[in-house]
Amino acid sequence: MRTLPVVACVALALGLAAGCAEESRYDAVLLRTREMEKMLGDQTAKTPTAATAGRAETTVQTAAAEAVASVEPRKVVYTGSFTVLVPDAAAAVEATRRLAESMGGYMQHSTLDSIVVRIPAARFGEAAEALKNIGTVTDRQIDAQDVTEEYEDLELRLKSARALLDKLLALLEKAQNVKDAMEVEREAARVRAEIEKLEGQKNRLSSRIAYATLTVRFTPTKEAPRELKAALPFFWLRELGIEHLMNAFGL
Amino acid sequence: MRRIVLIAALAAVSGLAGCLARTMNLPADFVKVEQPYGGPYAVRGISADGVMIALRFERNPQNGTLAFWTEAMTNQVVSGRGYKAAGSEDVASAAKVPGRLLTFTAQKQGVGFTYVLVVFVQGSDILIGEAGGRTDAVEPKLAEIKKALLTAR
Repeated sequence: MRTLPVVACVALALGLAAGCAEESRYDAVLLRTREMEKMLGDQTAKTPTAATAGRAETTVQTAAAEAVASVEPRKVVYTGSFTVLVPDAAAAVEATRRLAESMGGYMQHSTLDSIVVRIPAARFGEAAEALKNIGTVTDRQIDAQDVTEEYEDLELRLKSARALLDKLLALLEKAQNVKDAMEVEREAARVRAEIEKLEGQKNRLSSRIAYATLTVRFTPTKEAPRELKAALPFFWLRELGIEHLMNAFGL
Repeated sequence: MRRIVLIAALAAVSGLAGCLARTMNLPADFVKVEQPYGGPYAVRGISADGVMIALRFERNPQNGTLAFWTEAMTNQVVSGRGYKAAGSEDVASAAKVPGRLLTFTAQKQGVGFTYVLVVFVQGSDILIGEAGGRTDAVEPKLAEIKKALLTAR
């Protein structure tokens, strides 16, 4: 029984090496946990062996995958890029921001002649169509990226990592000395970090799915299209305004 | 011949003096900003919170009246830039030259801006004073800004 911790550490080191060489960090953690589980040798029927744990995990993954495939719709990230000809770019930027907000979206970034807005995915087409009311659309590009597999993969990895953490915590309670407990605690910390990382990735992806990204660049027309008239031949008149004043001050 | 040379020299000197004389006082809490590379402004100043004031002058073509430039400038900033006209008043410069003071508002990225223009037609020159900045910064200084713009000469 005294040799058990030593054997566990050796197995842990071997597991680490194997993990670094061929497995992903998550897989390596899983492997090490199974080795530790084996070495710590819980004799009671409560703790599953590596084989039964693996089977249980596979069952969970399969069930989750089936559930996702049968119920969840496809996960799609929509992005659109538009170029719009307008008489006044600054006013058009403001109009687009208001349009986004009226649709439950929000402004992500804007300059004097461009804006990036996030629109609820369900209203993306409507927003793209509404841009025609702001000016003349001269260029547009819409991309729909299917991220269903990436999303499901993240969910499954998250579930597995959480299950692994539960196992490690169960092992921690059974550790018979401080050294073993510390080893298990270290592994649990790594898995916790992995879970946080995966949750972050999943949240970011969910946000990209829920809100389409619409980038609009406005090109000012040389003359107002609705009111064709001769421009006064005094160039300095066009330099009036806060915009030019700010430029002159290097702002 | 001497007389012609003298007259030409006097004309040149007086013309140069006229150009150099274009200036205005700045509001008390504004600092003068130099233009190392030239530029359209005769005078520029800025407050600590970013309100800008400037004076420029342009050559007035034949028949250019105060009414003509007032309308042209209003059209330019309203139709061309999308500003809203917020006020217009007859004024007179410190040198008793009649002029027009125009106030506009604008929204930029959700922020309110105020833009003030004053125009005087003085002989062969059009004097244009401009001031602008965020409305919350301009408002407390508006009286001082208008007072300074009226010193354009």
